[in-house]
Amino acid sequence: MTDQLREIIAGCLKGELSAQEKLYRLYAGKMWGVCRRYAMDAEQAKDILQEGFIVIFEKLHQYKGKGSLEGWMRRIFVNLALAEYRKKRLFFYDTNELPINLQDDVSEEELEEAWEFSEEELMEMITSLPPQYRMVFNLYAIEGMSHKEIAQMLGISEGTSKSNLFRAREWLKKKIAGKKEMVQKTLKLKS
Amino acid sequence: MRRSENRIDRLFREKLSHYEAEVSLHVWEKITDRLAQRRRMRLLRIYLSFAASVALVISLGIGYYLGQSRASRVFSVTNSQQQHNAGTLSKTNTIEIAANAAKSEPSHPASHHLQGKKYEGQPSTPEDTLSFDTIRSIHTVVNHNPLPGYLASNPGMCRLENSNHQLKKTLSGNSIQAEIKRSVIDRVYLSFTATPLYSYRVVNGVQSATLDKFEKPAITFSAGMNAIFTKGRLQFSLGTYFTQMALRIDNVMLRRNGLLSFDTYALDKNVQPATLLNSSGKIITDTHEWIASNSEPFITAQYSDQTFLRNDDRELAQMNKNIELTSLTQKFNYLEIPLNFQYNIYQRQFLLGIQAGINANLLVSNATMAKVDGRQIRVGETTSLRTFNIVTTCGLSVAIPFTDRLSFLIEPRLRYYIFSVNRGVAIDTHPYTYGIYTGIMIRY
Repeated sequence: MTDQLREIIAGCLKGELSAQEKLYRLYAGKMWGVCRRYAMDAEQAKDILQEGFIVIFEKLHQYKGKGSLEGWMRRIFVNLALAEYRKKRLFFYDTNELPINLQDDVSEEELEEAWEFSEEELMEMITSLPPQYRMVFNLYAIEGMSHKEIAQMLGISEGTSKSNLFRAREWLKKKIAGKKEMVQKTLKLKS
Repeated sequence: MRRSENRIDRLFREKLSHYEAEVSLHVWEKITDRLAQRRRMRLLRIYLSFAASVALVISLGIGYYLGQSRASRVFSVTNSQQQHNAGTLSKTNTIEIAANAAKSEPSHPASHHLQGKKYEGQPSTPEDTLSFDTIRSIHTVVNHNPLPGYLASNPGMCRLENSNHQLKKTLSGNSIQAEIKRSVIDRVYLSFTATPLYSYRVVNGVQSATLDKFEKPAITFSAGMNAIFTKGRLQFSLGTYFTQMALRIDNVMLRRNGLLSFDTYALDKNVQPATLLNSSGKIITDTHEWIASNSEPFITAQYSDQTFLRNDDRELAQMNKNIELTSLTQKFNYLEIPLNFQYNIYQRQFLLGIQAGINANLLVSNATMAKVDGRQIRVGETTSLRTFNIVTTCGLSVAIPFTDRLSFLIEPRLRYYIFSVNRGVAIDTHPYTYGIYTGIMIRY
């Protein structure tokens, strides 16, 4: 931890608004990314971001310096986003309720080319996922959690978690394929 | 297939795990607004707690001031039979209210009556307050009648009946100056009482009859102190109490959502105090970390204000070990400033009074508790609560004196919240509590 960060934390612990603003400026952009990935829309992401920083300023004394501050903050935002999801979810989804064509619509080559997509384009794909798929995909693929942990967090079975992950990947592949198709059409029109 | 799945994961992980973007300026503005609001609330609570303490100190000060002389009468009491030696009077002296009493206070009607009277007494040291026997004797003269029998035999009751005459003697030659002070109020007492409280509530509004079915009484507590001022049979008191009121809903299904640790976070959202009823007349309460609802049928989740029920929820409950049936108790902690009036209807071997009053209540904190794994844990907080409330009280007071200064108090009391504890929902909640306060009352 840098001296500057230590100073900022000390200021926040004293309740100094200037230090709180510095901490916010330092991490708001990154945490915004976390909120966007989990939230239904930008408005909900803003709510989570606000709530998260309030919680962080009030609970900062609980951060004992073990592990990175960013990791500690990130966990708070993930927890809040999950709480928000639990609040808003309609019911525990039966995976059969949302049929998806299981055919693999994207080739290996197309997947390689997807690395050229911008972060913003990929973010849009994730936010377009149905909530139950988005949660599982985020927790598994990006946070690196196991199905057992995810099942416990979301109050679902491990089988449902696996199934949701599978469907999330299928959904994303279709999105990638659709995106490729749209890009090619645009190029043709331009030429 | 497996390989391509991993590639999808890797693509999104590597591209998005460190994603960073500009955030709208309004977000920080809203955060500062909310931080300022929370600071204001914290300061308000500190200020009001301080104000309550100051109110108590001031009331004690007023009591002390009022307890001082408004009109004092000075009488001479001479030891006519025996000489005192080195400031100590003999044990068997006879006290005579001297003739010069009329000179010192010619306007006092009792002065003439005092002349030539003789009374037995046992004053101890010159600077002390006169003994009980002496007080009793002089009281008899001043009031033209003897003390009632129960006072004669019970020094403890003397403070209750004979209280507006404070007598103090001073030694001057062979005589004792007995100063009689008359006060606007008779006496000041401090009382310390506490009780377990039985909390229930009156619900008004939409579907209140249905809601009533799920309500159960809750047991909490109340404790604090009062400054009590007496004047004849009337008594009024002002004090500070800490009182917890609670609402309990039984047969609640709790779903543990796993990730959030109660030791780490105390999130403050969405437990409605009146609880909400869905269109089927079922209670639904949602916290950040738990979803709670009454069973039959189980409610699994909610979206905004709607609740969705599924037929197979019982199966789901069996599958998910994190679901359990329990009771949910919403606890509200109030700082109270009670103002009570009392009329004593019986003052003999003990004191019996009827009392009524109002309490100014400030909400200090609240918590929603549930029994999980055999222990009470905090599952959230209640929002949309009224910070200030007025509570009416009525009850009885029984004081049993067991020394001159100390009495034992028993006060059964009913309390009713005039304003609804919550605001902004269709249902009004007016709790009432019943408790038998017990404690001590000390003469100030």
